[in-house]
Amino acid sequence: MASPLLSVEALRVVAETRYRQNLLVEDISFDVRAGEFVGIVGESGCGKSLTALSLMGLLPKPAVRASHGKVLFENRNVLSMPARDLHHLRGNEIGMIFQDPMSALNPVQTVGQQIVETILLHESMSRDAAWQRTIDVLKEVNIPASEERARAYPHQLSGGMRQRVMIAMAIVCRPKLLVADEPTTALDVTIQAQILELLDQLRRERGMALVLITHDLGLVAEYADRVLVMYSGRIVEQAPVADLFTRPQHPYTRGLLGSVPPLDEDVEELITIEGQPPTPGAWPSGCRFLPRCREQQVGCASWPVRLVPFHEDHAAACMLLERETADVD
Amino acid sequence: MSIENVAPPDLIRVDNLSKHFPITRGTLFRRETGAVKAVDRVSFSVSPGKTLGLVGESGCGKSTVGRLLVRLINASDGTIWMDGTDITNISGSDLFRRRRDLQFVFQDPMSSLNPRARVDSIIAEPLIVRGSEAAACRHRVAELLELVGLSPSHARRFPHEFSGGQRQRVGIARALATNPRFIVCDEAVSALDVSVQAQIINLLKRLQSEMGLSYLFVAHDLSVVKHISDEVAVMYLGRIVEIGDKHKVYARPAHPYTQALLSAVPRHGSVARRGAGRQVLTGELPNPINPPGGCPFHTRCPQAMPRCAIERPELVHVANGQQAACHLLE
Repeated sequence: MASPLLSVEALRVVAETRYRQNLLVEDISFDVRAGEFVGIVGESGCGKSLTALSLMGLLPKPAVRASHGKVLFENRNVLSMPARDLHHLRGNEIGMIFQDPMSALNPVQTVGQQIVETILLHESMSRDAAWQRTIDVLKEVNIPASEERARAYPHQLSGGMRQRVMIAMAIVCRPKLLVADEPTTALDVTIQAQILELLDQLRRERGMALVLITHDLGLVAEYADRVLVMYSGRIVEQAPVADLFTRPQHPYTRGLLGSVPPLDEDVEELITIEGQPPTPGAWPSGCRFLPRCREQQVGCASWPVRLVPFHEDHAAACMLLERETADVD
Repeated sequence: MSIENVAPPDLIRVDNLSKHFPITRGTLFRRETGAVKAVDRVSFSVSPGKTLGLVGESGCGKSTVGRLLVRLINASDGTIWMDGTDITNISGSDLFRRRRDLQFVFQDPMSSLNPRARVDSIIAEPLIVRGSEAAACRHRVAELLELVGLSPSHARRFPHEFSGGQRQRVGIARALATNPRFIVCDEAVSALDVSVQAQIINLLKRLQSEMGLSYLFVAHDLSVVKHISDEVAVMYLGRIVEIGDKHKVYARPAHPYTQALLSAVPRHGSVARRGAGRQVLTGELPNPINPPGGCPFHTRCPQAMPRCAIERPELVHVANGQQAACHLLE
């Protein structure tokens, strides 16, 4: 198989103060192949957004930095890239969209001007040509009356339209990878469906890989090829999407699935996960899910946490799975 | 117009309730230039011990309905009945007495709990204004904390010392303090993480069965609403477009908007149905200041007819206990 487009190896992100170091993300490894749709799922504080920011070298240094590991984009390490190369990488090769388009857009510039600025930063062409390209890309993200809308300020657009503008800005230089951090969390369901259809359509048409960061397991089920489930800064399970939903292996994944009321059937009581996620940086040692786990056994606390392969691409970080698979052998 | 009710009598009944917010211009010579019909002739009822779920997208007026019921804001038109008494315009001591039975749980517990007050005084406040003794209050606070799954030793803490889920429990304890019969939960679980959200939903259901509470559960999450409700009302631009038994509405949605809304919800079981039969609505919510005439949904409706732009459809019976407002059903 050809080498993956993006390869994250043993990534660790820490927050440093003068007195102490807090571990925020630890031992994250995954690949994204060209044209693939990867979902990263987790609750607030699990490190999913920090992982996304590391992919583009956007961590708020020096307070938060990647202290260990590599992020290889086409075999070049993003974490050790000089600023000039990073500048080229962002926008040209990796695009990113954020949760709240209102705070990501400049309120005192028209959206068209902002897209033109993006184009001119990355490519040398005339302002007129850049303007034409802006209109074209706005059309491509299905913004009606795109010439008019290009002259609008962000506050004149609705939430869904603003997110479309963000997508247009992110894809205008034809990146090979688009990182979307909770792109639809602030939007209504019908608009959310439109935005995800659009992202998926762009991915298919342009052969662009997509990393979707979300807390919504349903979204991932609907669109992603492969899923990573994160908990307390670690990947607890990774699997092709069909596998994850039909045979989840980690107790946390099972708990998450049970916590969402199903639309298609009736359940009396939701299966919940007791307690709440630990605060970032104050992780328990060993398996971080242990204090909330219903299935814990003797030995869990001292088990060295690692991803245990289960089936082809499917792996989970649970001791019970390791015991099970050992029994079968 | 309103829903026919067999036995248990309604606890809350709402007839043609409307709320219009005026749009004004000018500061010195302020004049009204129009009105936003946030709630437009809405009728429904809630039986004792039951939950009515109110769903819709942002700006559809669902929160305004909740606020109207608890009389946080006054209705422009229509009637709110409680136990057969008209409470639409009561005030003063009448309203004060009614509020004992009508309570509210807000979306964001961080901004609805006083950050400078300890949890015990937050929970005891509704008791104190009703003249309870200090000792009785302390006892009741401990009881309430335990009821919502917190420890009585948490009583002397401040809201910021709790996690989001625990804070929502405090908000629920406060709402329960006066032993109400009816609670409006306005997006009460929306701000919480999935695993914590499930805990709060289970708590609300348990309290309902133990205490016979009725809820108006306002939320945008269709799967949560289905889980917690007995009846569901779907709102669009201030109007109820479909209302009925949750099983019927979810299994056989009659209104095109309900159908689109349900099809837009991403679900776990959908790995298999991927790409097939997914109906994505085009366009966005029209401006509520200037809503489209006729059926408010006709601008986005895949099945719109010329008639839809002219004539406003009224709720018609689709099946036993299910009504929808659409010309296609007549």
